[in-house]
Amino acid sequence: MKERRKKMSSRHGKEARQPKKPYSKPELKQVPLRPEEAVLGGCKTASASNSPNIGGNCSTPGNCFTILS
Amino acid sequence: MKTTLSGTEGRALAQPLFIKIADIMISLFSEDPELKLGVEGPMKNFLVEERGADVRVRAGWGDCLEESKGRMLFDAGALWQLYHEDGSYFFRFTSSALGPLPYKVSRFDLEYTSGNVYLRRQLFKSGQPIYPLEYPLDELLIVNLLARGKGVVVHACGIVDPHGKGHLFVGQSEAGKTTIAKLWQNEPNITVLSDDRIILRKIDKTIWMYGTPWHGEAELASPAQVPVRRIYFLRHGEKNELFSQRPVDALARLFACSFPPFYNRDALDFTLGFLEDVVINVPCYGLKFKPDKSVVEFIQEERFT
Repeated sequence: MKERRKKMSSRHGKEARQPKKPYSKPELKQVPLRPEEAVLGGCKTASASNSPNIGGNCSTPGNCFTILS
Repeated sequence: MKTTLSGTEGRALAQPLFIKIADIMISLFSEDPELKLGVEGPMKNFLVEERGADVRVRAGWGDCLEESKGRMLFDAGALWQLYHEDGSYFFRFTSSALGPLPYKVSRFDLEYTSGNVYLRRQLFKSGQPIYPLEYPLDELLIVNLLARGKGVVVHACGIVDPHGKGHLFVGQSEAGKTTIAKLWQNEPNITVLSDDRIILRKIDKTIWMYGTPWHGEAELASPAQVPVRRIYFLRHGEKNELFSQRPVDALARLFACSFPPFYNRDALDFTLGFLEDVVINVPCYGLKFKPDKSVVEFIQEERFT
């Protein structure tokens, strides 16, 4: 029992000697998420499209895909 | 509405394609000899001779593509929607330029080990090779396969330096990934894995980065892979500066630049755990950079390598 108390007090002593971290206020950081990009919901540069077939979706024909005329 | 397919009886099937992305094998075959398969551009770098498949996809024509009777799981906007049906996932692809009807639909089993894709025949020129998995289906397929404990796709440019070490430059659109890729591109003994999408996987306690076919404007796409040495979160600046990044901040930024299946709770859970592993194991920095050659020298300087 004495031994255990000794260990405890020695451990507390060590903890007491450690410098306390200065208090820092919690902060809220906002990391921007771009939903359309994150869900693959936007146009992408065509890599495998066999023009004039269809590629991904894009409102500007000729960028991502070419429609059959 | 019912999907109607052209008859294939007694006719030879078209040559299958085998595609390997981040060590995941896709076998793509056509059920109709008139539907010739082929890829163009940097995707050719990902065709392999070896056989085998993590996922087998059968492609066919449809004159009238079916609609799902299942529950919609996710609507990505104008481009695609995902439905859950009994024992399968159903993807529906539309284009604002082609009207409200889907130009392509695809169905996969719940583990993404096999599936099919049907293309609306009248929209495609016959006789020309077609890649039925064209974006975003191929990326969606890989994203879902990776999310089953294998890895994560991130919005990043990947550079392999002359020592074979991987530098990952992370950022959303306009952050400077293509600029960085172009600056490194002509340096001796440098490989650019991709200027837009990189796949991260953990193999034997090491975080690896793999090139992907989903390139950016620089059209750089290599199937190579290397261990990730450092991660940089990109920002344009007046001069080149490197900032240390706390793991918690790095995790948030990496997650914001990743492509997880948001519609799958287990997959999101895995993705967050995996990215935490990444930021703990790989040094992360914020990088403000001047868009000229000086940033290449800056990164290559000994104190940062």
